[in-house]
Amino acid sequence: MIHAIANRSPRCATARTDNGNDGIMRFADVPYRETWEAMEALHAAGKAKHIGVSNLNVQSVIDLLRYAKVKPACNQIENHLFLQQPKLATFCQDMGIAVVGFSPLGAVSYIGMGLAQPKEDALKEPAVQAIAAAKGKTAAQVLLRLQLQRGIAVIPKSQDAGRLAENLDLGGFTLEADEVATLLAMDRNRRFNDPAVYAKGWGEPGSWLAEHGYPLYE
Amino acid sequence: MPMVGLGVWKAPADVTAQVVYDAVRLGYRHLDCACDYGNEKAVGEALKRVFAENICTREELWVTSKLWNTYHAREHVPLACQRTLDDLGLDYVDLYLIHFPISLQFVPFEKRYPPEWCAHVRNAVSPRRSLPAAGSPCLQFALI
Repeated sequence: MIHAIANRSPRCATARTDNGNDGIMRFADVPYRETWEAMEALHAAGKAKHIGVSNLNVQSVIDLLRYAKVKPACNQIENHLFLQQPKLATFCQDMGIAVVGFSPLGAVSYIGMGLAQPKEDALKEPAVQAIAAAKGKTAAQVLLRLQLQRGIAVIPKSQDAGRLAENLDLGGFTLEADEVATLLAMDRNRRFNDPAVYAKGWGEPGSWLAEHGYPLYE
Repeated sequence: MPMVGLGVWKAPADVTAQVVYDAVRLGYRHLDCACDYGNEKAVGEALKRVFAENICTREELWVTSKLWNTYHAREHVPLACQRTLDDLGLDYVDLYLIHFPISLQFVPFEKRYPPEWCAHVRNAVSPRRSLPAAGSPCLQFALI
């Protein structure tokens, strides 16, 4: 009934565009467990050698582990200097779930999207640059190496051949305990990929979603 | 799983094939893809070339992809996975992830692919899954 009200809103009627994207996010009532069981079927069929999750917090992982017949192999989460999520990462690792950190270089992918400020660029942090200079490495290599030493896999993006090579070349140096401590202390719990922010634009005008976004991680 | 991979989020489809090819030639053995990134066909082109030129074998490569939010229903999960496999030109992925714990209304492939966050069929309510009952804990969000 309220679906119908939402679907009759003026915004829906007018904001619809040619590409089928009408600018409104609409939820479906599929329980996560149903999706996971379908993932398990893909695993059994050999279509996916491993199955896993992304963007789950500790409580969601605990719930999943209660019914999963195939344990999640991985939780892929946003992870970088300013969002280290140490408790979530350690919890997953202790449960035997590999952690893959997306956006390991931090704000760079988000500045152009208006989801981060230029001053939030971890690559430009003096402390990071100082460690990089001391090691003869780049700031990016220091940030990526930090994650590896935390046992977190990294998936940086680049279209530049030089940077591609640089991001892959993370062996041959180790961050010392004091350097790691310096970097860990820089955590700001700052999330860039946050539907609580960007989903605000996808709610019907006046809706709860338009007002609050989707605070998935709260 | 190799600890360093190439992420292709936001890699424009027209350059993705070359970037992925270059990356694998440089030594990358882990590719992080997703339906939602809109470039799995381009990744597939690169992989075809990589295998044809014997730069590495399928077994040496770790390919991750992700189930998009609009395909969470039991009957849509295998369709979405197969579409990803077809686009990548692979028989299997090494890792398939549920991209977000957010279930959105289904969007048929022919309407829009990838559907992103906001391309749902207007007024569409799955026949199997109609409105949640009053008092359902998910009511608040389901009705936004």
